Amino acid sequence: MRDSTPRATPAPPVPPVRKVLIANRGEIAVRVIRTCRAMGLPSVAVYSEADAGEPHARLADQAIAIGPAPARESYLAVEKLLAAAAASGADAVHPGYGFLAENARFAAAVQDAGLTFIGPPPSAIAAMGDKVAARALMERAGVPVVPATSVLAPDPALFAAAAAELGFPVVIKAAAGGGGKGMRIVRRADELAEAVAGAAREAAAAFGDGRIYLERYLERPRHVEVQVFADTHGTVVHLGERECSIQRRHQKIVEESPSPAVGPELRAAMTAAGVRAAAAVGYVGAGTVEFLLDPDGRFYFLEMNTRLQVEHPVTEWVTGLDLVREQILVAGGAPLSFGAVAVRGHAIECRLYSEDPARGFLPATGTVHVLGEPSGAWVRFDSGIAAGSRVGVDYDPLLAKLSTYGATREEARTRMLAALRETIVLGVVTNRDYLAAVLEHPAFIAGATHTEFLAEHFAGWTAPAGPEHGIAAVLAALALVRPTPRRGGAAPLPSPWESLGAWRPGTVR
Amino acid sequence: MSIRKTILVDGLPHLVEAHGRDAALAARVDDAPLALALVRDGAAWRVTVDGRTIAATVVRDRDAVWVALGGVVHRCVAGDDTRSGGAASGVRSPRVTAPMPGKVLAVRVEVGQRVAAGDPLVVLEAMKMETIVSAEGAASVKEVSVVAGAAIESGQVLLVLEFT
Repeated sequence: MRDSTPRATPAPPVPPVRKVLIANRGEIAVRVIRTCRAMGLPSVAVYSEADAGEPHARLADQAIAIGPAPARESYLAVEKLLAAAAASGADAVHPGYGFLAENARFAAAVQDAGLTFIGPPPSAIAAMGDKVAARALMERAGVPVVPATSVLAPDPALFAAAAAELGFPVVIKAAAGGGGKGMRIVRRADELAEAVAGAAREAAAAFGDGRIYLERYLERPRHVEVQVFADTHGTVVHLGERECSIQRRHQKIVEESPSPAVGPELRAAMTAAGVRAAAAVGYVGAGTVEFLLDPDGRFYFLEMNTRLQVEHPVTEWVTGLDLVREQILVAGGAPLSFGAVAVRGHAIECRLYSEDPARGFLPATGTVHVLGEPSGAWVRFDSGIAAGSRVGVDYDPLLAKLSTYGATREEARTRMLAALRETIVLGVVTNRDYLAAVLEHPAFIAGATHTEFLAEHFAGWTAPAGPEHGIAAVLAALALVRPTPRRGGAAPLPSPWESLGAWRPGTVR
Repeated sequence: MSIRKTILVDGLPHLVEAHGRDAALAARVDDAPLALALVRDGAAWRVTVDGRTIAATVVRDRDAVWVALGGVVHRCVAGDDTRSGGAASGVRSPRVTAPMPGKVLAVRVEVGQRVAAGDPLVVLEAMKMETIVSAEGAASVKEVSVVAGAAIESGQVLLVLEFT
């Protein structure tokens, strides 16, 4: 899985990373801090007023307050992050994902401050960050792309004309986009006006850039992406693919590697295209080239995410690598530490969100009173919460990621079901039972996933009522009527393990 | 102690009646008898039903009672609690409430305006995602209770409709 692309100019020497500031929060900050620990590197967390005492701020060697809860005044405030780096003596910044991770100006500001940005060069972020320019670049590099317009003024008439040319359904996308924000699928001409206004507004709010464009919308494609890795010495490799078709609101909730739909020939073609895409922008570090895989077997470049991906653990499971470690080493100027990597076994990830799948995935807030974390052989729980954590409205509702590994897909799947059952959150509504239902669905078991999977199989889903509902109703009524007696002051909250009950094979409910 | 209450368990209503002490409770759930005994120790409850004792974790906060039972977490609220969002009621309410906490991005209607089913009323944002609150039926707008930019709680009244 190695493809060397010579570069015209040798990279200037870079000093090894010595101390890392993590410009992020939640599970990804915790995950990066853990790797720093394992590498013997001191870590610096930053936290907003809403996150004081949260796991990422407690786990780091040092934690620096950077302002109020709104991200604009804390996690997106470049000058505050740079001041925190200077105050702590950190010589490198890891952006995680989201927030400033794909902001070329931030990467440049970090470098201008004399620090190492643990990520790609600002020029590569900028090249891929403008989705319209990136498409053109990919076409020139011989990577297939979906038919689309250039950036259009947010005028419904312009979009209507373009849609007529491309043919419905179409999708409005943010030029600065990612993560489904500022994105609208439109199936009928009379839906265009509201969708154009909404997409432009959402794009402006999410990215500070309201530019949008129109693309032909492929029906029921799979979302398959290629993990690439490059160093500063001209080597670009791929680490296989991930299948991420199970999406709600255009955001992934279940991912796996390898893809059940990709055989050796397709894999060779897709991974080669991924490597070409990365090489075309002079990429360095970990990146992901996303493709839509049509049912007819053709694939199209969707976008490149110039950062560590949320779902990177499944790649770590099947390759045996720590991608954050490799990021830090490459940022310090080292050549890739691994050669040809063989993908072994199968891994699945489920994203635990604070949201209510029975009510249109509405984000849910609250306080985590009790948390049961899953564990066991080939089980990994990347969590940003602990008992007592407050889940507010200011940030992404991702609470934790659960991933499992198996020699086969079925082994990873059943292991995931067992681990989901051990994942107990009291105090915030989560999508846990929904995730379990997805993993138990015959179409998922068969590997027949596509981006409309949830819309087709899970529209109107509600948690099935069981005999426990009656008992739960009585207990709740009692708790409402009479406060629970406490023995000698505040009784400690119990471990949730006790309430797991007996294992019923093949089902979480 | 005697209780008669409608409890929404994960949005589904159940009528609960219960008499007696923790050690010997005679309950009815939706008219089906359920005899149980329980021992409470803080949030750790032990419930005996039909000679079988199971552990439950029960935590009450200002929004709900959270009950973990048999490996499943249930969110329970009193049936008359408006913060439940009316998820299971299926009844059209003239009072349009926020389905989630967050911020009002835009108010799309004015007092006196006529709306049809599905017309957008208010655009909300939470956790960087937009949600459009739409009219459940043909109505006229009687009252608008929020302005763009306002921070809102879940269940807060956004506007009042008069169905036509």
